[in-house]
Order: sequence, then structure tokens, then C-alpha cells
Amino acid sequence: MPTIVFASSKGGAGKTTAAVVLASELARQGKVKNIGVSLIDADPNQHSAKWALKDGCPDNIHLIQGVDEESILDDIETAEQQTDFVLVDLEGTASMAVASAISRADLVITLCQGSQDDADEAVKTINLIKRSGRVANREIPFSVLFTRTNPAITPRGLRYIIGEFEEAGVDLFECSLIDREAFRAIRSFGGIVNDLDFKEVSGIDKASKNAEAFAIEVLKKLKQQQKQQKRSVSNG
Amino acid sequence: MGRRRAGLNIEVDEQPVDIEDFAGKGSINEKPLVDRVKVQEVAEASGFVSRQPKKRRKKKRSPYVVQTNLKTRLGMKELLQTLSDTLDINDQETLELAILALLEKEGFKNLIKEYKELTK
Repeated sequence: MPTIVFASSKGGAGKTTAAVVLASELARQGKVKNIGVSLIDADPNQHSAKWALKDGCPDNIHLIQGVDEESILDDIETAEQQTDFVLVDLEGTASMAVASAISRADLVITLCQGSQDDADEAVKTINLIKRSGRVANREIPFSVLFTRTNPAITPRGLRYIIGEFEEAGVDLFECSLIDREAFRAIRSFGGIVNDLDFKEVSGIDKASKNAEAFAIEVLKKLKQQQKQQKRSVSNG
Repeated sequence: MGRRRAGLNIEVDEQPVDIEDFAGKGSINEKPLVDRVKVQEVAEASGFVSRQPKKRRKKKRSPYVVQTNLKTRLGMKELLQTLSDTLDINDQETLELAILALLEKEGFKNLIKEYKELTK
């Protein structure tokens, strides 16, 4: 049902990592419940597609490739009819494809690392989300996810950025995507974090918990949105 | 007197989220159809521009591919150009029309046939 768009106009912010981690965690949780996940790779570099095409990718992940700015809206609408979750991994540029995907999103996850450049680009994306919501006549929910964080230290720069976002009332994920070897490893080995070999990769359990916490928070945000939707319908 | 303070019994809205709550195809809520023109306007105003490679216009191949080095009287070249400008056609077309007119005037039927074959 929900379409979750990973957007940041900056490359290397962690869109593909977050998309792959969420797709694999939703697929893992949903496997026995027959839940399907569409993963739309709208980045010409096709990094998430490369992961999805490797052995070990869950069967309930449906990869959609060859998407461009002209086809992206149709691809999302088709995927919404075919699977329970639609995840859209976008190119790290300020492109029309980003704007089109945002206009169709149920949740936009804006990625940000603890640098001024990342924060500037996240703000640019947030401004676009707000403007798109105004022309679409609906609120497009969005939240900022910090990526490649250090579990032990929060640097001053990151603390400052978090403070600025909080002051502006921007919704932030409570969890962050921690810089873990396991998240990089699934991109080379394929499959999901839980299937990695602990002899080859360290910190699998911690990465797995991180992925689970991220997925739960996404589901909570979507649930909250569903409630608001029901409330607004019942209030007429 | 108890050793612990009485709880305030505040209701906590913290139900576990089940992935199955989202089972089912179709959109999470009724989203209005996206007006693509408006999306484009907003995107461009926000600095999000098209990255799609522009479709290259296929250039029509010119039929005039053979060069002829023709010496003329002084001023004849300019006269040809003035005539082409007046007719709003290029020099090659002017020359071809002149040849056709001459062939027709002289009644060279075979050559007219060849001319038509070359210019079809």
C-alpha cells in the first residue's frame, strides 16, 4: 500500500543503503504473511538493482528497473497495485524524477549525514516536498533520517544540524542508520543482514537490530498517518 | 501508607505495529491524481530540473553532396544569389530550376526524364 520515497538531492547521503535495508527488513518481516515489496530503482547508477539481482535477495522483493522521469509516476502507480509496499530509490540530484516521485509519496525519507552540505540539500528537498504538497492539495509526510552515524559519539556538527531541524519543527527519525560494515556487506554478498556470515562480517546482530528499529519506526509513522486519515474521513 | 506512589494511569497510545496492517494492494490513502504540469512548475521553481537527455532533432540529409567548381563571368555569381534570394530558395535549387526550364524549352525529353529521376 504505502509508497515510501528516499530523496536527497545530494549523492552519497545514504538513499540506497536505507532503501535496501528497509526493503530487506520489510521483506523479512512480511515473508510469512505474504507481504510483497516493490523496489523501484530510479537511479541511473542502478545500485539497489545490483543488490536485488544478487543471490539471496528475498523472493518477495519485486525489482523495477529502467525507470526515468517520464515513466516514474506510472511505474509507482502500477507497483502500488501489485505489492503491499513500494520503495523508491532516487538519484542524488535535483531532478524532475525526484519531484514526480515525491508528489506520489505516502512518506518521504530525506537522508542526511552530519555535514553542512548534506543538511543544505536535505532542506532543499524539504522545501520541494512542502511546495509539492501545496499544489497536490495534501500534506506529503516526510521525515529526516540521519545516516552513517557513529553509535558512540554525536559530533558537534551533527548536534547543531539536529538542533536546527528540531527548532524548525522538522520531523526526525528517532533512530539513525549507523555506519555498520554489515550494511556495506549485503551490497557485495547480496541477501539481507540476518543472512550474513558472522565469520566474514562483524556486528551483524547490531546491524540487524538497527534495521529492525528503522523499519518499526517507518511502520509507526505510516500507522500514525493511517489514523489521521481515518480521523479526517470520520470528521468529514 | 504504601511504599510506592500511586500511578496516574495515563493511557499510553503505544500499540505494537504489525506489518500486516499494511497488507493489501492499492494506495494507503486516496491520493488525488498528480497534475504533472504543476509538479514540473514546482520542481523547476525549487531548482529540480529535467535531467532527461534532450531528444536530438534528426537533421535532414542534404541532397546536394557533389561540389562543382564552376567559373562564371564577373557578377554572375552575385546575380545567381540575388535571384535565389528573390525566389527565397537556395542557389542549388535556383540552378536546378534553371536547368529544368532550359530542358523544357529545348524539349529534351530524355534529359527531363533523367532530371526527374535525379530530383525525386
